[in-house]
This record gives sequence, C-alpha cells and structure tokens, in this order.
Amino acid sequence: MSAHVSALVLDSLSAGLPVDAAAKTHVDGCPACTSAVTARRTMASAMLGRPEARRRLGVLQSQVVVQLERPKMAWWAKLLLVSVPVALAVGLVAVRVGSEAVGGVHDRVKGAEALRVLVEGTPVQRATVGSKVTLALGSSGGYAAVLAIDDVHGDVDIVWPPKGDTSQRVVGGAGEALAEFEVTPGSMTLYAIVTDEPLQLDRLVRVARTGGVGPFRDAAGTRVLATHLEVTPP
Amino acid sequence: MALSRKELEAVYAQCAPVVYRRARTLLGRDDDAWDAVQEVFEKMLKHADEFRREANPMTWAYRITTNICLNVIRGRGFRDPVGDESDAAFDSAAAACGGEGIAGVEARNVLRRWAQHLTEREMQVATLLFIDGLTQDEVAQTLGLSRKTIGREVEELRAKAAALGALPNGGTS
Repeated sequence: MSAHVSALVLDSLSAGLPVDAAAKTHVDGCPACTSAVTARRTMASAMLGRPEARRRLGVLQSQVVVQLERPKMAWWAKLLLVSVPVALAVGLVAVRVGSEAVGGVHDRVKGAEALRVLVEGTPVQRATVGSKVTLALGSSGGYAAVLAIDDVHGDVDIVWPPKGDTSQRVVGGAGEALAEFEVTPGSMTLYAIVTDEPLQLDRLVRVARTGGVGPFRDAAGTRVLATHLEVTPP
Repeated sequence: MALSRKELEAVYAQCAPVVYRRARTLLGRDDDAWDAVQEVFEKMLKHADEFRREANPMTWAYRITTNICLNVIRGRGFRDPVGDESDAAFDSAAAACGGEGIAGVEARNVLRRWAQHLTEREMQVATLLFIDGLTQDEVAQTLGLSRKTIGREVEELRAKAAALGALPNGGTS
C-alpha cells in the first residue's frame, strides 16, 4: 500500500479499533500517518477532558436503562414455574393499532399463548386504515401491557391498557380480547409484556425506546409475545 | 438489547472525539458540534441492536454524524452559519490530524454550495468522499451500499460537481 490511508482508518486506529492488515502495516511504516494517529489521540484526549464532554456523557448515561429489576424468586417458586405452566392453558391475544381504543371488549378468545389482532374473530396480520380490529391476548395470567413499535421510525406507544400507570391484570387459562381499535396509518409490531407483578408503563416505554423489547426477554418471570401488523391504505 | 453504561462509556471514549471533530469541521460552531455528539449517541442508545450489528463502530459514527450535520446544514438554508466560530487552536489541531479531503471554512463553503444543487444521497456521498476523503469502498461500507452503486453515483456526482465549478480532488477507489 503506497497511498496514505483515509481519515476513517486513522480514526479507527487512534480509537483502538481493528483495521485492515495492509492499512496497519502502512501506518506503522509511514511517519506522516503515524503522526496523524498521534495527533488524533492528543485531540481525543483533550476533547474527552473538557467539562462539556463529561456533561454530555452524564446526560447520555441518565438515558441508559439497564435491566428490568425483578425480585429474586424462591426455589419453590422456580419449581412452580417449571411444573405449573404445563397445566396452564395459555392464550393471550393482543393487538393494536392506532392509539385510541374505540371501546372495551370482554369476550373470551380461545387459543394458545399469543398476541393476536383479530378481525371478526379471525387472526390477521394485515389491516386497512380505518378498519376496526380487536387486540387479543392469551397467557397464563398475570399483568400485561401491550406496546406498539412503529416499523419506520421505531416510535413506541402503549396501546393497552388504555389508562392507568401500570400494566393490568389479565385472566389466565384462556385467551382474552382486550379492546377494539381503529387502524391508523403505519405498520407496526405489537408486543405484549406479561409479568407476575405490575410494571410501570412509563418505564416500559423508556426501556423499549432505548433497547427494544430485548431487556424484557432477558428478565426473569417475564413473557414477551409479539405480532406484526401491516397497515395498508384504505 | 440496550447498551449498558459501561458499553456506552467505552464507545463514547472511542467515537465521541471523532464525532465532535467532524461535526465541528462541518458545522463551524462549537455548540452545534456538541449537540451533534449528543444526538449521535442518543441514536446509538435508541438503535442499540443496529449499532451492535455494525462491523466497525466508526463507520456507524461516520454515517450518523454525516446525516445529522447535513440536516443542520439544510436547516440553516443557504445563509452563512450564525456565529461561524474561528478557533485557531481547533483548526490547528484538526489540521495536524490530516486525512481529510477538504477542511475548515473551505469544507463548509463547499457544503453550502452543494446543498443548493445535490440530493440528500448525493450530499452524503459527496461529504464522505470529498470532505472526509474516504475511498469509494469505505463510502460503500459506511452507507451500507454496494461498491457498484457507489461507483455509478460517484461518476454522476463528479459531473455535477464539475458543473458547479467545485470538483475537489479525492474519491479514489
């Protein structure tokens, strides 16, 4: 390699990131590139030492939500978790769409543990703007909230429960229709987060905004059910 | 899965100085550069999974910084940036870093001129290629596009830039 390496390579090297072997060899043998890496390191050190750099990092750190804090379970509770779910029927169905619930629905919906969007009782994955759909959830019971994450922008909304600060109790052993919604523009993925104890909705949204639903999947005693809804124009 | 505080601190130490330097060069104002740093890392936190999939965190930082800075430039319109700050210490330190195609006030003037005539994509490619001095392979890697696509776009871009009387050197493959 005879030509000097690019700014991207110099920046990667100065940050201690791996680069192409030929580029590394060139930099090691090139006084100009070595000097450029050194200058970058000096500049980086000066920048990171500025109060503004620490202040901005502090702001960012405050936005990091690590793991959902869950109480540790007793050994007998773990045993129950292993044996009881086999006997428990699960059928959660959930759905969304749009941010406004049209009205409450209290029918039972049969089915396995799942979150579903229904049109006239039939599960769908596609709906037209303006149509009415039912969000249904089947689970082994507990407390649930349903989030919608917009496909395009990644915006996070709570679509159920329609009010209150925490996730709400759902009946175990059968599928349950949660609410009816009118479909608004924008395809989305719906997630039901089911836990043994109620969770703060604002915290759910905060976690989902920074890390999607991954942290929920990793939390003990938490079930995540998902369904995608493709929204088409009327 | 969200980034942990430790991961955030590590990536901040690696990439924030580069984000700041590039934003300061492209935008000309210290406050704007710091705002860009914050916005880049907020996006990183928000799209942690996408960030983790990136082969090199630096290409991610380059791409997002470019997009954010170009948005600011477009938002300013075609007037001079308010309070374009002359900072001899920064300019001198940045110049010692080398590697870029065009730097300082000249870079900002070229960007303003391009912003009147080029599309959003062309601005991305032109910034990485001519201002930052990346190779076509690196531009393709940074924007997640094929080398062939970038090669074709660069030819058109050169013709446009030449017509504007602003065809810098650079854009090697």
